[in-house]
Amino acid sequence: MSSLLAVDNLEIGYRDTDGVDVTLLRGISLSVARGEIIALVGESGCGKSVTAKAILGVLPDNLKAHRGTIRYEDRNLLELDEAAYQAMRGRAFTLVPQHPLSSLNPVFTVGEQFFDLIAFQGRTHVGIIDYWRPRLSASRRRAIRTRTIDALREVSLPSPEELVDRYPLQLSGGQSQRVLIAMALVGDPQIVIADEPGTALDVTIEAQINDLLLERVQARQTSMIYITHDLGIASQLADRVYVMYAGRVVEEGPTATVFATPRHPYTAGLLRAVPKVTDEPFEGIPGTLPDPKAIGQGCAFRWRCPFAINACAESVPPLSDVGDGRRAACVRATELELVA
Amino acid sequence: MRFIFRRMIELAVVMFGLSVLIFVISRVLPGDPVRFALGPQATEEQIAQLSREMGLDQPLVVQYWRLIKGLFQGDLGVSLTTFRPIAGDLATFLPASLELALFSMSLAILVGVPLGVMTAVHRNSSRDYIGRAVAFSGVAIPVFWFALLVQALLSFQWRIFPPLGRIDADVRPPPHVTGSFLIDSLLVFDIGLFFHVLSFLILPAVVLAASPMAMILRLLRASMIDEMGKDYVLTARANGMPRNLLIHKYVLRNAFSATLTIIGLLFGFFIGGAFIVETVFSWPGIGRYGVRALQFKDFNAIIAVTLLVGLAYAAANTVVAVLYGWLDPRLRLGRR
Repeated sequence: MSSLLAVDNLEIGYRDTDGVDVTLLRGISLSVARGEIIALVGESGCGKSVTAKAILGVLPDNLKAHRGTIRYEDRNLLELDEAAYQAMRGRAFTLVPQHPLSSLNPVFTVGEQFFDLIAFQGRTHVGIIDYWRPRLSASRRRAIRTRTIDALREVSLPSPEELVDRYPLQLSGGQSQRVLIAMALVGDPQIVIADEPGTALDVTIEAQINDLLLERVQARQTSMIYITHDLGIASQLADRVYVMYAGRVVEEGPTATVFATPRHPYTAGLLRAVPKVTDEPFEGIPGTLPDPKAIGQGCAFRWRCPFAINACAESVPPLSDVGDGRRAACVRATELELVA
Repeated sequence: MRFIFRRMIELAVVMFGLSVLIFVISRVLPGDPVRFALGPQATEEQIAQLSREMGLDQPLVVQYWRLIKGLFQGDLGVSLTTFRPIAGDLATFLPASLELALFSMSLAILVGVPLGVMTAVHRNSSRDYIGRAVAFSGVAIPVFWFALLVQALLSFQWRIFPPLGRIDADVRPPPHVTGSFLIDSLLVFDIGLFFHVLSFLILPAVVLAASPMAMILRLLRASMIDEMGKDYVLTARANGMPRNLLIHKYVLRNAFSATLTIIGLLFGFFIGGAFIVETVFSWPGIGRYGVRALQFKDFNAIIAVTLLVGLAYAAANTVVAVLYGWLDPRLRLGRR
């Protein structure tokens, strides 16, 4: 399958206030095919969101890509100028954010926010005349309103005609997230990047949101990069999964195989840490993510790994083929018998 | 509408409190205003007579009631130094002050807001540093010193602007319509007069605007930077919202709510500054009138000026509160 988007060996870091270079993404590679759903899983702070922001080209100013490429179709996004990049936002790729309640502008109605997005999406600059032209034309106004209502109806929001004139504070978290999904889809994007879209919501609402996302992207043949720390959700949604740890992909492959027979001790640890509805005691992974400044030469997981050997501190194990279409970055990937 | 009504009630309560406060302070302050008014040679009978004429021999409650009754009838008593009705004096001096205050307030906002946005957007660039340096000086330099400096250099040294007053003594002011020379001269299409009047207005206005402008700049810069880090900005950017629209509409509207509150408070600053600026530039306004009233312990005039200033301050903040509600739906709709 040829990929629509391919991130290759991406390295992103910043210079801290002491002038020390800190690397957050240490050579990430991933790819999404047309219509495919992949999941990025890992603990908070492992670099999932930074990867998403890098693809969208909305990294904070201090973060810089030092190495690697982000290829969309046949263009390297890291070499695009801002105008060309902006033209792709919302159309090539788009974002469903993590915190629905704070991701809509509080002082404008839903309709107003849709209006500007529909009228001006992908442009770098809107002059005063450009700004007023669609607003002064009754037919254009009506067309945009109709499109907004249609977009809201598509995400199963009740009475979208009333909703367009509401302010975000009049919406619940679940409704806000539906509005945001509608907003993300309004430009007919090729890839939806969903950054933990349900984490801030109640469990039942989260399930509804995930069902909706899945249904919408499948209906439109849209690809999706779903970021989560919840392995259960990842296994339900994704075709393939990338397990990230401390700025690296440590294991990747088809979701079912990776979760059934993990090849990296971190994946196995994550799977064991999922609470189950049985009497089985559930175990977490001891320790926390290492400080990105202190990882040094070897495998970043070596301090928390029950199977670490001397070789783990010497060099970073490359992500290599371990059979069944999977790759894992562990020197002992093929010899260990891991229990999920 | 209910929101505005509530604000109006608040305004009335504040004004009542202020009037009581001013009245009591003016009566308990040491020094008999009548003795001041009549001078050291006055006899006890003269003092007693004037006290009676002005009602100062009555109980405090009665005096206060007379003051309030007078206020509603537009009668503020007579000045203890000139013996002219104070209401008439205020009517003469108020338009000049209003013109100066509104002009310099607009100046502060029209310069401060764009600079605040610019320094926030180009954070840590040379533009930002220059803007912040200007803002810092604006806040740090005392008004009286800046006023004298500007007057000495631009008026007396280089003779670019007239140093004193509101209009040349031999130029006829425009017919009185609004009381603002600027607007009135435009109403009769006298462009020459307009620029003549403007040349007098510009220096005091700039001096008066400097500090509030700097405060608006700093505040707006800080709240713009704060807003730009919010989730909705990231989401809008990722969805392809044009950057200038995002900043000048979505971020600015959010950031401005915070700044607006301060603009209301800054109005007090304006009035304080106006007393100094009007004195330095001989601007025939309420500020200069108030300073003179203070110098001569003209209690009736002091009460009137203080009440007027208080009313202006409270009214400005009421306008701000109403605007605030209009800007921010969260206040109008109430949190659920």
